[in-house]
Amino acid sequence: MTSIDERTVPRRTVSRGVGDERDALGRARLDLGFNVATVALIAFLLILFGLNVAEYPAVGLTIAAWVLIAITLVAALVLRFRLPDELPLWLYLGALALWAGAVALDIAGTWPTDGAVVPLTAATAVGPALLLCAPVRPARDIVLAATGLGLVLGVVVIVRALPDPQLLGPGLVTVAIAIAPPLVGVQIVRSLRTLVQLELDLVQVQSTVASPGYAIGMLASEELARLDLAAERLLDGVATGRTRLPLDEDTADAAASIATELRLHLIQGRKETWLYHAVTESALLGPAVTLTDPDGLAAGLNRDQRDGLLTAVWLLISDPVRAGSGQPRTLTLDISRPAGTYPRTSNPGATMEIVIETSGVPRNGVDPAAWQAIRKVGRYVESFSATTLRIAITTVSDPSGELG
Amino acid sequence: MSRIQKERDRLLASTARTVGLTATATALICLSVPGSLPLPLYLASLVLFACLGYAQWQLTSLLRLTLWMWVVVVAGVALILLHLLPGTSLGPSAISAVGVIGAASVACVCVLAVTSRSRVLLLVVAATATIASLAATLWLTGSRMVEPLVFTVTGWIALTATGIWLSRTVPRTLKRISTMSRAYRVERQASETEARRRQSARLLHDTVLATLTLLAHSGVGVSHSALREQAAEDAALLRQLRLGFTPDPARSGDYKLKPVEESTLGNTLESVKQRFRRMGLEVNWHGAGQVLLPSDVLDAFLLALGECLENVRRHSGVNEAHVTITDDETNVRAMVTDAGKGFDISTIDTGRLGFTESIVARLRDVGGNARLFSSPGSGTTVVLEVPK
Repeated sequence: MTSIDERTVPRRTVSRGVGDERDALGRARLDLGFNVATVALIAFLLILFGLNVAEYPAVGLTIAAWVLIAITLVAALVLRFRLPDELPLWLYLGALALWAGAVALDIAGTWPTDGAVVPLTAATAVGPALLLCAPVRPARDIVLAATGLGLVLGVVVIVRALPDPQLLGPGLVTVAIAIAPPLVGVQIVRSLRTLVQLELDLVQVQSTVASPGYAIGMLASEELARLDLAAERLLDGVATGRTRLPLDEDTADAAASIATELRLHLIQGRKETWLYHAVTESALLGPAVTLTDPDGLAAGLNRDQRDGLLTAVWLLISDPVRAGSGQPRTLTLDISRPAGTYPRTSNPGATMEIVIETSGVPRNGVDPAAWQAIRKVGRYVESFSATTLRIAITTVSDPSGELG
Repeated sequence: MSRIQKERDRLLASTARTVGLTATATALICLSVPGSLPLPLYLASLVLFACLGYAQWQLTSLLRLTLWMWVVVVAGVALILLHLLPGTSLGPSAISAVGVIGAASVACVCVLAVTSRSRVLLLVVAATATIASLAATLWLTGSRMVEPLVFTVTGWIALTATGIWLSRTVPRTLKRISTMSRAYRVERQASETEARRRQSARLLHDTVLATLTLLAHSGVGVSHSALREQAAEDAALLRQLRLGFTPDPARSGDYKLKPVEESTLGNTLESVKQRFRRMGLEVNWHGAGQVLLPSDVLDAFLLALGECLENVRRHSGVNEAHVTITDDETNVRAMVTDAGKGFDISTIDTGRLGFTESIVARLRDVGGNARLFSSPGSGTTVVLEVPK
């Protein structure tokens, strides 16, 4: 068999770069902001310790706990720039072990001997320290650790407050200082990541506005390359005698299906509009949008109109996701000639009606930017019936706008 | 307000809300510990807690934001000052409650306050009011002062830092993403060009498809060596295509694979003839040989023709077919006839005929059509028609 040069197989190199970028952006510069918050909270706890240091029953143990915390913080400072984007698991587990030690030492060191209850400080400082890990570890790890810490501290606080319920208040605040920062940190990291993913999706979708009205599309293009390669391998196998003739059933089936798919792909691209590609290629729009455009009228929209339409659809769908409150909405997009119009195929200047229907949008809950975007497409009328928002846009395809 | 700003405010607001509501809940539980406040004052504090919590909840609506921020500040400060009324030294739980209200419940507004100048003013006023009311309350009641005050200052510093950092990170990140749109556009263009290059190598695909179909049907009626020869040729062409060349096979002399806007029918028909001869079907051409067709029409026409001949080869039981090409001002017509066994059109499964939807659809795409005539024992005729 003649060797097939794998390096020349077309690949989506740019999108791979984009994928890396996506990960990097998700975590980008997250640590810096949390640093200040962490340092401020830990400083407060240290001051709290200093103010009461005379009353600690076993001050040596608490100091030892603080030393452990200090060690991890210094290590974090030193290692910060040498670490990969994600903190290695062993390092995280190591830090957790040290912190568990600090918690144990602090609890032992502050155990009330003759009634005097002093605040937990080093054990609480583990919470803000965990905040530092929020951008560099999966959310689950942080949540688990914070929950564990909260449970331990909670039990200790309740046990110590049994003689005097008034002590519950300070104890509760201690627990809150320990668990709230890492959990809020996780929430921020997650929102940022969602935001970055949505934006990347939008950018990718918007790259279709400059493409020809009818295009082959990236997915189909990749698929065509794949099929050509599959066909080449099969034929090569036959040519070199590596594959025996007549073909066994499986190979014969493979040949038939490659031929069928290849045939379909060779005629594809003449019917699919840029809008179809934009929707199918998008991770957000793909599952959420049902597009009906039997005449391929979308191809006639100019660049501004396309941008407006895509942005509006994207905003309508992604609103709940961006607000962090759930799944994308579903939406139907129908493009047709108004009734009574003489059907002229791909005639420049043809009138079309674009109907966007989506449910579950609150009446005043449409992003104003969406209306602004729709205005770029054409004149529109919106109506609400029950929970369904219907936007009917009437527009004329731009004769000079047919791209490509 | 630009979209980037809106996304930024959304994130800031949801952070502020989470921090604020968590703190408010904590403070409420602290105050609910028996003995923290006399009952009438506790009930009054519940109203203030409700205001505080509702205003914090409303922050994420992003409507009348400044108003809600002020409500948070006023309700929080009022809650702190409420502790003046008993006139006695505050217990540990009450001190914790006012500490948390000062350090986070009210301070949550500073996450949002860093985005505009008027809000920075709010931040300064709110911080001053909170710390002053807290200090006054603790001092006048003769309670421990240091811890709650240090805690409150810490809270304001930590939350302001978080707000400043978030409000800078979000726009910067989003701007960086938007610069990537160029990369996407270039990628799309490249992929489009590549796909068109592959699609435009239509004769290559024509022969590849025919060979694949032949292989799928166990190469009925074709010698293994002929099949191997054909496969080797096709594989070599595909390889060239993959390596970025547009194959121009001088070797076989038949394939003309450069994208051409208009092609003559004659020399391309010759290649089809060669291919079928190798597989044991003699194709006889009759009629016009020098017809010019636009490339997409030629493309569809040849593919359909190839399919028809493949059907003849496979099903007719004869090894000779006649193709008559005629043209007038508007149309080019090919009549493919064989003298084979024929069939009853009404009983035949159209899929088996190779009249797959894609082929017919492709002809229709270019404005052409296909018609089929046959009856058992008297051969088959297919008429393909495309516009010039």
